[in-house]
Amino acid sequence: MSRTLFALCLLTLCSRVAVADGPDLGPHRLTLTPAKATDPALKYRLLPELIEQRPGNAAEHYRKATTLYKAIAEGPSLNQAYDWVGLPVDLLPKDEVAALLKAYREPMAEAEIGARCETCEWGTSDDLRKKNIGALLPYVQEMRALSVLFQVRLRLELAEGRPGQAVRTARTALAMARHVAESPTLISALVGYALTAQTLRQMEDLVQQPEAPNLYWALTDLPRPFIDLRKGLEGERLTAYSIFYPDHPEFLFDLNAGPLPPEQARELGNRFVGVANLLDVPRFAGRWVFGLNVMRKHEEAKKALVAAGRPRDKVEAMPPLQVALLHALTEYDLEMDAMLKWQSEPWWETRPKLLELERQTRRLRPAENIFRRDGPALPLAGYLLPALNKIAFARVRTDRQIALLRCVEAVRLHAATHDGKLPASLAEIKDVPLPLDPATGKAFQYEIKGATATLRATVVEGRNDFSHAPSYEIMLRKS
Amino acid sequence: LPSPSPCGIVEERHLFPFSLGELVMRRLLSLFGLLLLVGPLPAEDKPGPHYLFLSPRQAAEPALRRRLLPELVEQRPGNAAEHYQKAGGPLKGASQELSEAVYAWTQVPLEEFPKKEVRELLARYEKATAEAEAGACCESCDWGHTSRIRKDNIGAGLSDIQDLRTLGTLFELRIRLEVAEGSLDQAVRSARTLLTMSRHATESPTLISALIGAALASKAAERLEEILQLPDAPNLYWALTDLPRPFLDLRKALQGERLGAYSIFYPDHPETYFDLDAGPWTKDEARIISGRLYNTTSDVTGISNRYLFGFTVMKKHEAAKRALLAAGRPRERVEAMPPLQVALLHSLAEYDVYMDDCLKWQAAPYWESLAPLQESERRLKQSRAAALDPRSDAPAMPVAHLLFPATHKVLSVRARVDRRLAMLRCIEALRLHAAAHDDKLPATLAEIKDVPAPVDPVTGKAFAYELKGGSATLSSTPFDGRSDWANAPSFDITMRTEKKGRNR
Repeated sequence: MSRTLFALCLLTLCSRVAVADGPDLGPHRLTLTPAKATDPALKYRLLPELIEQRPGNAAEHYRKATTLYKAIAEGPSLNQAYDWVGLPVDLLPKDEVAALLKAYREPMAEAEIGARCETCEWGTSDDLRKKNIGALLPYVQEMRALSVLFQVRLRLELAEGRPGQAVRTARTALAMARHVAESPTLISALVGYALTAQTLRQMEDLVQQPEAPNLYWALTDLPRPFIDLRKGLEGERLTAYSIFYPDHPEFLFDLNAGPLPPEQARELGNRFVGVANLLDVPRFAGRWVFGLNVMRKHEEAKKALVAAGRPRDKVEAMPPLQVALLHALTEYDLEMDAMLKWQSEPWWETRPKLLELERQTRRLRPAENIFRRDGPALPLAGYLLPALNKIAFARVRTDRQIALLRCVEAVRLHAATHDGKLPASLAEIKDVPLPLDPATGKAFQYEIKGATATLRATVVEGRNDFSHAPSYEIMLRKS
Repeated sequence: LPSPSPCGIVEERHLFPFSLGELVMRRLLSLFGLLLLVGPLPAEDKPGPHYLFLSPRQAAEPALRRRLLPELVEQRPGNAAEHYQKAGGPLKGASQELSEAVYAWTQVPLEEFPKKEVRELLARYEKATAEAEAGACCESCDWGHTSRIRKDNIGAGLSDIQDLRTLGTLFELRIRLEVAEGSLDQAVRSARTLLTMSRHATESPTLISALIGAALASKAAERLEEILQLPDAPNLYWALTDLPRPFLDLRKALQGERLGAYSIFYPDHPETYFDLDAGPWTKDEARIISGRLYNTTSDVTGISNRYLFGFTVMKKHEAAKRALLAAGRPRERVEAMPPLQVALLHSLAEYDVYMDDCLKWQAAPYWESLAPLQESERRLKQSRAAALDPRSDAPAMPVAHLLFPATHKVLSVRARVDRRLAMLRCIEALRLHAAAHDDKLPATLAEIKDVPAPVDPVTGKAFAYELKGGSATLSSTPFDGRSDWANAPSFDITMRTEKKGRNR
């Protein structure tokens, strides 16, 4: 429950990351200078290339960086950094920012080494296997703090007119965002999205610098989706299974597995009741009620396991508690797979299916389901399934922001070869391919009025604030 | 390092035992050999469609009960590469045994499949396949190749990854045996191992590894095609849908090419050349690198006299300096560099232009990237004459011409794998539709409403589909100048009529 609450808080944070005080309704105004593509095309990159990387585990460097910054007892507070991130570049107190960055120089250097490591292994999957929903993820919060330092540095570099350095800092911040999401939990993926959104917000200021290099190809080169949800989603099932069979959850996944030894079956009973209480399953307090319910549903549960492909002889040899658990997990798998199977599909195809599935899942929660004849004795699915639609939208929102920035850079690129003029329509841009909106599969809306163009993403999820439907008003400087 | 000597250039050759030309030739041969492997095999080169006889089948429940890549809950912490490397021991001498005769076993019709012989053969290599299975269930795969490439550049030995090809043949045979014996779940599981090995191959940062990955994925697709035709075959639509797209990520492999190229000239710390703020070489660096440069140039330009080579470098020096300044290097640093360093950085700058022209397309859809990639390669070919002309402003060392990979060919191989998997998904969508519509094939692909029918990853459009009488044809358009089956697969599909047992 605490993890779910944390995830929901993060979702809220993700959607309000641009401004802390009130919703950002947009559009964001961008004043741009026409700029051709760089040569070589990937002279500026937004993720470190292999040649810049070194063998090693990034997570170890981030942990060291965290220890270093925690050790900085004196000096400017990090809270100020959060304020500076939202301040216009020309109002940034450069000296104070420089002093703060100097104080945190060592942890930042360590984090930079981490961002250029070839692998990032947090060791979380092992933790999840052992401690399941009780596994701690301290680095999630710590990476947020480290990332803020890089956001501030990026702003200082912009204020000092060093866009090349700012791109390098953005690269570090984006690599960190992807590294957080290497941990197989949805919380980590959501933090990854939040950190990416913060960096992309800084990049809006970056592309407005008069000397800013055109980042069209750097943005095009980014992975799509920028952060994959696969690991996070699979971590959910790993956690759910590990609650009942720590260390070796794959035992429960194996259709050929046999009966548990008596002492493990007893342990399973304790875990069962513990989970019921933890999840606050109504009318489920007493062991006797639980035991009676398990026995009442035993025959139905056995039938369900055999139908799922488990050998009849092995099912018959299992203690009722094991049968009840596998029955509960079968229902969980059914619902979980019904969601997971859509995760590779485009969001506009996925969304209606996921919304329908979420409605179904909510129906699995009420207390009367516990006594439903064909339902499992412990209705795990209703309590443990993630709100995938919201999480999938966090992913598409990140990709949409990247695609929109790519469009902005394509406009700058077009203007550089067309007398500094905005294109009349997006279709007029022929030099480079224009990205489609990952949320709709269609082109972004573009309209030109006088010297200003409006680039807009369609309103989805019923909200028109900037984080849900970003839009830009674009004006060009005379070159 | 050996002590400096007036003839340092010649004496450094022992640090670099093969000439660059030899290394490049060895790699090219290996690459082309693999391209052939991934391409049409003799038996596959027959024109016309593959004939499929399918049974209608609904999707399984839970939808991902049978997966084609292991899920996290089935994985264990550990490095897959270590298991594959362990599997290499028992495989010694296997490639001989698994040569033509065994290769034929992967092609004979199932009814003629020599089950007894294959069972005996697989028993002999059980240790190797068990290790491979353990590897396929590992959470990470780190071959340690980047360190090797930094040290030994494009000459780095990657024999461990070559063992995956032998393992791939063993798993192909195992899948066929399991299919012939009716162990369908086991066959799907073996296909999963093969597909996982394929993705693990691309964790090694070389194009050769990526091509091995593509070859393994093609083998798995070929076997899945066989599995789907069995009367009791489960519907794998969602398992195929769940696979990553593109199935093989080439980012690492393509970036590894630049790492290899830069490491030739600056082993262990190739990133030094990437740093626009880098200063002049030390004396030791100048001595070692000049030997490498000389070898490179004599291989490509035929300038076998090092004085002539020196003369060319000096003649192009001013143009090279201008190019470095234009690339953003500080003037004072460029001026402080010895002419050889300037010449090398100029050459690498040209290499980067061509390399980035290809790399920038690797994340784009194939149909957007093909024409620009071909154009970029054509430009590179056209500039070869100028590159070899000592009077031109082209770099003194044509590194780009020597080391540039055939990127568009490799991206075509990836597109081919994705196309094949998408077509299998289409076939499963047809089975799924038939199961819900009285065993009948749809009149058009648009008629399939239960699940999304995939588009062709090569064109971004729907596959061609035509229903004639009781059978349908599913086909794809030729691309990249090739119309053989491997590039443009097509299927003639007939649906069996059956009334029960559709849900498993």
